[in-house]
Amino acid sequence: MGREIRLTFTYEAWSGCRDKPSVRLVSALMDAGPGDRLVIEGEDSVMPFTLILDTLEDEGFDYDVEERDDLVGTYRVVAYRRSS
Amino acid sequence: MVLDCNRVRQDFPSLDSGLVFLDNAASTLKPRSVMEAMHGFGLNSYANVHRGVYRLSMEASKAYEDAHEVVAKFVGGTWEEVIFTRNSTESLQTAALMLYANGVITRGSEILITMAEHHANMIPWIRVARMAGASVKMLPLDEEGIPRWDLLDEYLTPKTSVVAIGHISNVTGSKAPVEEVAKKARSTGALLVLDSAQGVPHTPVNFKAMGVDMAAFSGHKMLGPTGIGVLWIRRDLAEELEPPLGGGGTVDRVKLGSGGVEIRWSTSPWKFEAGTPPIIEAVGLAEAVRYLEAIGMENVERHEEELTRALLEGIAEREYIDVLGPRRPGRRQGIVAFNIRGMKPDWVGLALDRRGIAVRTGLHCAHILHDALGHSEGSVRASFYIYNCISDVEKLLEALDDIYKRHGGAK
Repeated sequence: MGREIRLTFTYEAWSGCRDKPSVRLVSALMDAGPGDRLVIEGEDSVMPFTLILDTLEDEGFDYDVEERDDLVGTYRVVAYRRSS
Repeated sequence: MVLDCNRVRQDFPSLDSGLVFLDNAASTLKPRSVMEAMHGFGLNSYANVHRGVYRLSMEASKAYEDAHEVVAKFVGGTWEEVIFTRNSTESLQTAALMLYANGVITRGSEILITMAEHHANMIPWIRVARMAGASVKMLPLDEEGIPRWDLLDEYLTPKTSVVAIGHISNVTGSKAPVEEVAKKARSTGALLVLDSAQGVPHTPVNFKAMGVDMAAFSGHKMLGPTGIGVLWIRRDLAEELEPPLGGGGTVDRVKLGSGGVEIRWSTSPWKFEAGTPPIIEAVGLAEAVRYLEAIGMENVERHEEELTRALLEGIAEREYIDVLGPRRPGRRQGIVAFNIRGMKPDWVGLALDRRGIAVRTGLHCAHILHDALGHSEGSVRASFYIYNCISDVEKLLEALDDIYKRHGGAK
């Protein structure tokens, strides 16, 4: 049974945060092992949905888009490292 | 001689993967010769320097002293003028504290900097000004983020004790008219301190001829290792000043006299290098200088100008890109900071990384400059060095088009 890694890219979570969302995302993906479950929730204004999906694909993750609101720009994606 | 970037690339194994490395203003990659020199010295010739009476220490001392000589020649100075520190930031910090401790910066005096400064050349001066009861004045910027050098006469007053400016901006890439500033500073009796972190690695430099009193640069931005920087001090000034840090290696003699402890300082540069210095790093830095000298700094400068021109021309054809600083080629050196409209710099950096291109994003330790240019969320910075080729510029422009098409307007 793997871990659950949660990433929240909302304005509320990132306002005043010195870190960069891209660094947090890539670090989490590098850290995730087989069986780990990544839950990524956020807003396009903090980290765009398309960029999340591209990065997941590049880094070898399968994913399900559980929620996506194009109008409001919010999303919830669950991802797993692709088994080799 | 023209710089052959494809030949140079062979000395940098990090590039074998096809990586397009455009983060050189932050730190450069290291050539094989630098790493081999450090490795060989560390394994075979290392001992602590100075006062060791055995052969290994004497050999290490000789290598360490030679490194001062090699670096000094590179910037038009003598070995007594080269003080090894950890990096440019520490060099500038040391300069500021030293000028305060030696009574150059006093209550009521003024320090003149510009709004374009990197924090390394801003915060140390603000801090010592507060300690001394002095004030810091900032030369404003024009619409391209270039300091208003035309206002220098207004900002320099008889109270100005120090003028501290960046040689080449780490954001706009614009070059300061150092000789002109030096002349004006001297006419009012002020000392000129130059932050040359982006200068020495990219352009031929002769501090003495430029009229500079003190200058700072880092080893790791010019092919050398991290952990070593330089504070260059004009020789007569170096002889005059007391060091801000004391300790082992800084003194000739310490005695208990009738009035307390008497300290006789050593000569420069040793009196300024407290404690065991960065010995292996100095060997690496000297090798980096030899590498650059073999290429020739005029060639380095010309090569970067060509790359910068190509990138600016490419950007000019793309309406979706906003450039920070001068758009005209020839007015900047090797650094182009920009933003894609509708995208945060962080996103662009991530998307470029996905395409094998390394850039830096953020405020680049120049918050006031970014605010002044209306880019308070930062910028994407591409910065060149000797191993970048025109093909890197083309790949960057292609990637930016692709990123804009895929993600643009998401904000």
